[in-house]
Amino acid sequence: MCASVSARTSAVEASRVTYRYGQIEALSDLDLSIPQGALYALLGANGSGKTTLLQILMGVRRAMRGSVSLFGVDSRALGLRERATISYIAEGQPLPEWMTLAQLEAYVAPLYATWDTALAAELRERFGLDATRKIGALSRGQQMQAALLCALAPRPRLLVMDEPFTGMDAVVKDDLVHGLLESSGRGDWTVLVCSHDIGELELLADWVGVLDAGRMLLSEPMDVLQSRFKRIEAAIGGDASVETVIARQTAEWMAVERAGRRMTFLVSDADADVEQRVARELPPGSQVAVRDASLREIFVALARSARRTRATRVDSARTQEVA
Amino acid sequence: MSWIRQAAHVFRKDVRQWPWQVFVYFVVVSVTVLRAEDRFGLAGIASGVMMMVTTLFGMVFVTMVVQSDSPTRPNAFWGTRPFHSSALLAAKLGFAVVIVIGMAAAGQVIALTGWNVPATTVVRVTLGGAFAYLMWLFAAMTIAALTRDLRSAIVAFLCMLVGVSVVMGIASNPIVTGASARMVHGWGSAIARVLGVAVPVALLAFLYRRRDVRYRAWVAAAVVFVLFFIAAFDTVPSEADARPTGPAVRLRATLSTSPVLREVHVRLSAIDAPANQRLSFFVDSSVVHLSNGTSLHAAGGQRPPVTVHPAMLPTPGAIRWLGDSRNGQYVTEAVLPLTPQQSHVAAIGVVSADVWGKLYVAVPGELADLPLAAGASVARDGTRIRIAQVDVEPDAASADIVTSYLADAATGLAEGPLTYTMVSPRFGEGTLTEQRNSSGGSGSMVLPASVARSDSTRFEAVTPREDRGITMAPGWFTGARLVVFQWKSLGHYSTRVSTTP
Repeated sequence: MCASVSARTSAVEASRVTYRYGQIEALSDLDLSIPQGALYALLGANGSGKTTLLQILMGVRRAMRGSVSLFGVDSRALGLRERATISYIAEGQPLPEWMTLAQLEAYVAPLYATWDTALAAELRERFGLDATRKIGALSRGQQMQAALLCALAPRPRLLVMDEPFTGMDAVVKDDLVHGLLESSGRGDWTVLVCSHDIGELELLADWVGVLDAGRMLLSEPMDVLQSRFKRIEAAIGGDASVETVIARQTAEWMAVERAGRRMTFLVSDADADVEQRVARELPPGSQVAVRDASLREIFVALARSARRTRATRVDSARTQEVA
Repeated sequence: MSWIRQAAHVFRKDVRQWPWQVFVYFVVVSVTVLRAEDRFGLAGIASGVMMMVTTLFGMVFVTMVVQSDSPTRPNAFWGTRPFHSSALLAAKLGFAVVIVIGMAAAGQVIALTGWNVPATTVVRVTLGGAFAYLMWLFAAMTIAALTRDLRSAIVAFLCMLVGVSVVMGIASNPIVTGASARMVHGWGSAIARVLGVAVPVALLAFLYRRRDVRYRAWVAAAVVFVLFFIAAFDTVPSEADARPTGPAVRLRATLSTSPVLREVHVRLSAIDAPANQRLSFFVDSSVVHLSNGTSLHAAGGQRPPVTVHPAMLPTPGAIRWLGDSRNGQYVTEAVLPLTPQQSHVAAIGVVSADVWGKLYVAVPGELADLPLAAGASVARDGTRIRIAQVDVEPDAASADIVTSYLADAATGLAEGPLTYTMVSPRFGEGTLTEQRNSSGGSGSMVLPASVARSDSTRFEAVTPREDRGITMAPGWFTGARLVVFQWKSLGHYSTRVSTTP
């Protein structure tokens, strides 16, 4: 799937994008390419610049440097025709609460030539939404479903969602994920979603990008990522202390944790002989087990590693300053 | 969806969104209209308060309407949907003009019908008020576009109002810029009014299109406020520079220095002035020539103008004005004040003076003819006259008269002061009245910048002195009438008068 996707032109293309809030740099020389048809999960810690990036992609904010295009059109110059093919669910986006769902649909539908009334009805049915209830009377999860309904019914080419799972219970989240997966199977569309609900994203995404402090740490297909990152569980054998082993760890070990004489860590460039390679680094008699790393583990490992790198950079800068 | 249909689509949505607010606004406007009409015992409420309530309500209303589709909130519902940003702006401006201003303007028209003013005046007064209201609404919409919610909009509006008014106060101080205060009038005022509309619309259009707000947008908002100040509060009338038709009246001037010489007095009289024209002279500047051959520039700007020729009042029903001495030569004095230093220099002796000034020409027209009885009233040409109380004795009479008029000078109404007379049809005679005491105040109509003034004055009939051989017959005031004349300006021209020895 990834190969077929990457062979096409990009739905989203961002090059050297920089954005600042006053003196604070939210995005720094960021590059991003999302192939058409991808279900792209954008991960990042709080304040990493995810929402700012999405707003720049949608033309809500203007990059101070760099360029952004959607389906080859500059995001600052998106016309009505292009906008009609893009749906965006913003984090905390207020819906007109005084409207009923039916009124909201009637307000939004005339804006789209491609509005699919049958799909809207089907989604309403699936989400169990009452069209006669006011949006303000719906729960937060139901409001997100109503927003999703309005986003999906025009059958967009690109769906961008910022924290869509906020305020949803597990059942509703599951419904939403399955609804998205089903919908994605029907048409040739691209989905860009950013969320802290990594479990849901793992089910959804076939591409993953990790953003940290305004820079992309990685952006690659999910299957490549999962084949590259492996979780190692090792039981340290012999008399060697675990501390000694940890002190001798190689640079590729990430997110090292220990519990007694057992330790776990991630490696980021696993290949077929990763197990033997790791075993050679450990004292004789150690036992090594390798399994696929979850998306959550990969994200946490990358985020911690990046934080450590930043802290080291700051420390050395201070040291130089003092010197 | 076409641009125009999208604008209408959003406009309909806004009207549906705020039905109760529209209704409450309608009620507020209705109460303001009834207050302006002095109906249903609402006279106890200051009309200025009701106008301000209407204006503030309108400002809050447009703030909510703009913020419901905020141009600058990144997560605004409309922002990532296929809306023409300009159609959205058009819908918001349409709401402000059609619903907010339209309703108040309709109320203003209704209120004005009670003043018996010509249709052209109704249109002129209403458009003037609507423009001032639009300036207030533009200021509110600009702040609404830059803020997140109503509370922050109110705080930002007040801060901007205070900040800009302080800056404007300093800038308009003659010490800082002597000419700037005068520059905002005339052409400057007209340009400010055009910019007052163009700049906020351009800024709002920019914000709806660009959306990403930086501090520069706030600088532009401050400019909007400055223009708002100039355009909304600049109600100083542009002086009609029209010359009256007919030949210019010549003035004769003779010197009449005061003993103390703090000031130079110039006795003025008109030569060949038409009998029906009242001439008033306003001193712009003067030069006083001294006996040693030197000259002094005396200050001008004396207010009010001095009357150099009082017109004969018209004679309704061929009445005769009792004790009227104005057929003869009328002489008045213009005062040219001197500074202490000038007084010291002028002590050497003043020989002549040249005075430059403007001669204003006005003619009287009959405004009202009422029976001299309590409760009698009339409304005409933007003025209402009501006789509150009358005290009649065999040879004297007084009346408490409430006079209300649309006082907005910019509208051209209330052109001049009124002259109140009492006329006895039975004897075919009339007499002037004297003002004894007066109280009054100003209020507003429905729209801003439309001011109505009301004065309550006691007038006493002037009884002629017997030593002139003119007497009032007993029972003169029985069946008498109150006849009121209004002085209508014909224009003015500049002139120079030199004193003759």
